[in-house]
Amino acid sequence: MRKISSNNDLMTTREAGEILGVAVRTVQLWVESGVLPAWRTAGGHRRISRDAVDKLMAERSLVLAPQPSAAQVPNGQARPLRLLVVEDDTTLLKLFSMVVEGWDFPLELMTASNGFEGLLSIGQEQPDIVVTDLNMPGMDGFQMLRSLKKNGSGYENLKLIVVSALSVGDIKDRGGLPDDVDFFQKPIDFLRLETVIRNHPRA
Amino acid sequence: MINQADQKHLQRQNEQLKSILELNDSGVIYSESDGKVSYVNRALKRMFAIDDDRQDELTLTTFENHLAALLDPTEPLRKPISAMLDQMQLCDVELTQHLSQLVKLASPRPAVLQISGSVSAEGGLIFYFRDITTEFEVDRMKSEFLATAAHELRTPLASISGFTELMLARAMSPEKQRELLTTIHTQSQVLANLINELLDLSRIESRQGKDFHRQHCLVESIVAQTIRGLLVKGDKRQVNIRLAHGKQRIMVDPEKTMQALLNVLSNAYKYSPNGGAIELETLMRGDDEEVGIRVTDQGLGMSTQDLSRVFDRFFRADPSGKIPGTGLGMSLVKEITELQEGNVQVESELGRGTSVTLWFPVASDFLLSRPFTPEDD
Repeated sequence: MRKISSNNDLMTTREAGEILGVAVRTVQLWVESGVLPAWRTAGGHRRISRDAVDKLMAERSLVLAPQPSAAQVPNGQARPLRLLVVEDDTTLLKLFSMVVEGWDFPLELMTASNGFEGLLSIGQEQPDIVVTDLNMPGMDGFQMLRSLKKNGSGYENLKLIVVSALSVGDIKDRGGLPDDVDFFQKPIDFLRLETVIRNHPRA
Repeated sequence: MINQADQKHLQRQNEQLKSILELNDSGVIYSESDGKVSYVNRALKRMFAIDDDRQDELTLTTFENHLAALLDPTEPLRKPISAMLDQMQLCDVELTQHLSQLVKLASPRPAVLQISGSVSAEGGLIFYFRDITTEFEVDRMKSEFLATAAHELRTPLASISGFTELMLARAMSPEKQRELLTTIHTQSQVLANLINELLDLSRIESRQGKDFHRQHCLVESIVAQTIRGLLVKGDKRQVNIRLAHGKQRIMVDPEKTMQALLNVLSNAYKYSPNGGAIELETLMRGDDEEVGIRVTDQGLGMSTQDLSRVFDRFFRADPSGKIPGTGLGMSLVKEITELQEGNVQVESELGRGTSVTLWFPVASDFLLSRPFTPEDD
């Protein structure tokens, strides 16, 4: 078999994953959602340019704050639940982090401010639950959900919760939500949200 | 036996009815009970682009086939005429008067038609096609506007409700309380501004300028009075004013026009957070028939794409949310200016700044009334 890496300009998903330090399925998610531009060979294999990988690495370092090394969890305690909140309104993000601070179960909060950053963070940080807004500049929540729910994305089973100021009817008009997504209308009922998140089985 | 006078009378009546039908904007098709079409009016032929030369091929069946080819691909009703005939057979003759059906056309141009059908005393079938595209579009825009307005109102409400709930549930330091109260206060002001501007906009739109008190005003009075009301918190910049045509007179409602100019000026401040001069100048165009009041900033500017949406309701050129605003200011400016025979010109370059010009027709010299002068305080 011809070794692709000898060609400095093109790489496979595996090679891109090695450089980016993420799993192959993460690279696949980023490619399929357009976060990482790529194309397919006649045989259906994904090929990614070196430039695209470099560009993504630069963008990622801007978007994702360096993650603290895995929190020290005393033996016998459940590992913290990893929650990603995707929301463009900075005031609401602040509200989220304050509310979450008061929950009495171990939880690690990550944030992103649009669908593009959301997908980057999902691929990179592998959260257990994603809470997302719909109306956001750039890639919106609808697009992000579609990418995640696409067959073979590898993230079909990720727990998704939508929080939006759009009404159920407006959301239907814009194409609706996937079936297994929980919906919360803003202003958010944080008690119900806490219950849903607390009861989510951890992998 | 019909005598000649009766025949003439009948003929005249026939001609009258025909001209009434021909002048009608709605399409009309009449078919005998066997489906043979005996009359179609001009509006129908135009509505469905039916060739005059092939008009004699028309039967209800050929018409329906023709219609099916023009329907919008998303239209679920593929055989509207047959569907209506089925319904008409199920109903009493009286009820058929009220049978109607909406269909969407893709060609000869996209349109929404309301079809109604009825049966004549002789058993003939009549179908009317009314073009309701405009009403349909207005309805759609209204509900879209309402949906967006509700979304914009719920967003600050989500913060207000969330933070108050948090403060009620949790003990926190006075400093923390103060910080959260400030956020709640800011968000409630956002909400109040939104409601005010929404009401302004809807009042202006529904009254179509009927509550405007238009009088002839000197351009310089409008500018001077607006600048006096301009107070930008924490911004020491002054507007550089060059009024080469300040003595020109325009026929406007001074208060509304000042509101429009104030919106433009406060945008110039808000969208140049890193400073730079803000200029206000006047200019003339079109054989001195129009005078323009132009505000130029050296701020963030807009991309061509953003520029094309600048008058869209709720559109914000700053998606980061750092610059406060409702996205309704420029819609108001446009409404106020255009209801006074003026127009708004916006030029912008990303990273370089924006210039907005309010153009108004110069008022006639024949006016004998005294120009508006703001009361001195």
